[in-house]
Amino acid sequence: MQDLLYLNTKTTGPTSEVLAMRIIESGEISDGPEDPDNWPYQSVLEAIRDGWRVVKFPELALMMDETRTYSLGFEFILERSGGN
Amino acid sequence: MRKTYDCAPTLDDEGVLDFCKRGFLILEGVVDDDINQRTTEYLEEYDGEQPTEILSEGWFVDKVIKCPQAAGVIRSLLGKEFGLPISMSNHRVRTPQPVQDWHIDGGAKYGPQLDYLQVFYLPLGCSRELGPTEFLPGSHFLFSHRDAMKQLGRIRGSHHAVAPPGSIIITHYGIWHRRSESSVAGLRNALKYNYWRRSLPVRDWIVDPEFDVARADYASPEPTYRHLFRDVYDVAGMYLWLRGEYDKFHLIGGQGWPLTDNRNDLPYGVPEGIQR
Repeated sequence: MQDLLYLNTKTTGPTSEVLAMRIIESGEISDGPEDPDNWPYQSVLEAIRDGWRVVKFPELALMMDETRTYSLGFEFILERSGGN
Repeated sequence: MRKTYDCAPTLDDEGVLDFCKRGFLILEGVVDDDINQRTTEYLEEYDGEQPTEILSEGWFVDKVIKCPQAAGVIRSLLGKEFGLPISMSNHRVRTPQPVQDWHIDGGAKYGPQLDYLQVFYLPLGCSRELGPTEFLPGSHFLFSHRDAMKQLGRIRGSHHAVAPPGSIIITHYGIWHRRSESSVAGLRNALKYNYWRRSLPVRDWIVDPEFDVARADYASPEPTYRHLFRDVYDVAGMYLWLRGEYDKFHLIGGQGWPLTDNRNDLPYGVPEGIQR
């Protein structure tokens, strides 16, 4: 079964601070711990080092409008093979 | 004939600026216990999602809708003779419940204008265990389709509106929010209603003679969820709109107004003709 990890970061960089997270493992959705210090990953790079693969990079076109802020940070979607 | 109300404003310039930054404000325990109890009993009888009939109850209008602390904030932000609520919703939840998805309420408009406010009244209050509403400070400046944020989960910097009985939460209509997860058995009533602007925006809140629009701090607390200084521009624009001076809002960029800095002179780019 495919596991998914949504990470919204402060910048496009792989070491950027994570602003938001949600994880789907074994078909179960979880927001993770309430305290950001206890989130499983503090950056996209940390998640990659733990076996996650990026399947969607942030849509930079949305960031080219200096008059508006679109949605929340820069969204990376990562996946890895989970259990059954 | 619209039902309107007027009273003395209770926010000063810094208070208005703080609302612009955060997009919500919590008044803890401002409604008396007997009214909280009476409201709770009323909602046992009228337990639907839209108990608008409660707006016909004089005791409720006088003590909740016109609660001096809340009405003073509404008056500060929406101006004189503001419109009173004409409908009532109740987010009545038997807990425990899972967390809701993040959302903005339908009809939210993006921009510096503030023509209505969404207000929550918690007669029973709400502990963290009962799943208080979770707000994202400053998110009224983030443009998003309301159905395009459902994948978001935990967000750094969010605020769980834990509050004692009789609390009133005043929000920008476009603030991102959700009901947080609850973990104990209980009942949560959250009455939700809107106030409306009926006059042109003008700086008629409590004017602080020491406040200087050229040197004010428009920066929002971290994380701002925006690129560098965008939060400053957003807040300054909304503040000027509320003063009725948005036509003078102009940004020269760089280190000019409205950036806060340790300067030895006025910043460049202060809007011409603005009342300081």
